[in-house]
Amino acid sequence: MISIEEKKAARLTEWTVWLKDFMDINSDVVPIPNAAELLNDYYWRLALFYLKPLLEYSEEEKEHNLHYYKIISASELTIMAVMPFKLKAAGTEESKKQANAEYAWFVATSILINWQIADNYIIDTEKLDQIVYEKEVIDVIDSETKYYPLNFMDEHIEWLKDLNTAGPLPILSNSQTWRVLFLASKADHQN
Amino acid sequence: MNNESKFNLDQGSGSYQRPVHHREVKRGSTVRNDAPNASSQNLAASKGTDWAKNSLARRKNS
Repeated sequence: MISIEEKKAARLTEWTVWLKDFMDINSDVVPIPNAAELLNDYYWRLALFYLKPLLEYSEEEKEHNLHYYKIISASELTIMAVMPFKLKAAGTEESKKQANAEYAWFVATSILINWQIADNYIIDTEKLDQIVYEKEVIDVIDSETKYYPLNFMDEHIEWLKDLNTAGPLPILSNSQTWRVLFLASKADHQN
Repeated sequence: MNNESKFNLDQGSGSYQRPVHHREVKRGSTVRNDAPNASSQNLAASKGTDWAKNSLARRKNS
């Protein structure tokens, strides 16, 4: 069995790669000192001391692995709590939150798309494209079709940006959001 | 930065009831046997990060 220290080391490497890769697409931000270490430390405290105690498992089960929905959720909330990126130039708090919320989306979708079960990727990225960029019809008024104003990606990033991380974090409801996204990717999208 | 101060484990009033959720994977089930531990996955592989980069580029250009 992989030790918790080995798991922490593996995730630290991933945080480091994610920070570097995100800067490829956003030249306006720079990571705070020790960003990967801070993210990793916060993530594991969240996972081990907040999330795992909420989950029921039998006494003989020595360890309870978190599945990807909760890993994604905890990772996103970790990012919004730590705020690992700051703006290079002077900017508003709003701009900094937006950049970090986009980074949270970046990490979340990287995890989802890279996750494999039995050597098979769990999600079809073409289906994911269909879901996250769509603005669905919400009404028809006087023959005019009304669409939901934000697609899933934009709405989720807005939600992250406005998240209050000072109180209890909505790890489980956010986890359910990612589960629903996954289940939607399995649905038949033919109308 | 003092992250400890942001890490709110205290539910406050004392009336809080800890929710108990279903086990995610039943012991001994096929899913458990097949589902690899997160540490055995490469969650920062380019397949995922490339898609994520493209999605944010698309957001920026929309």
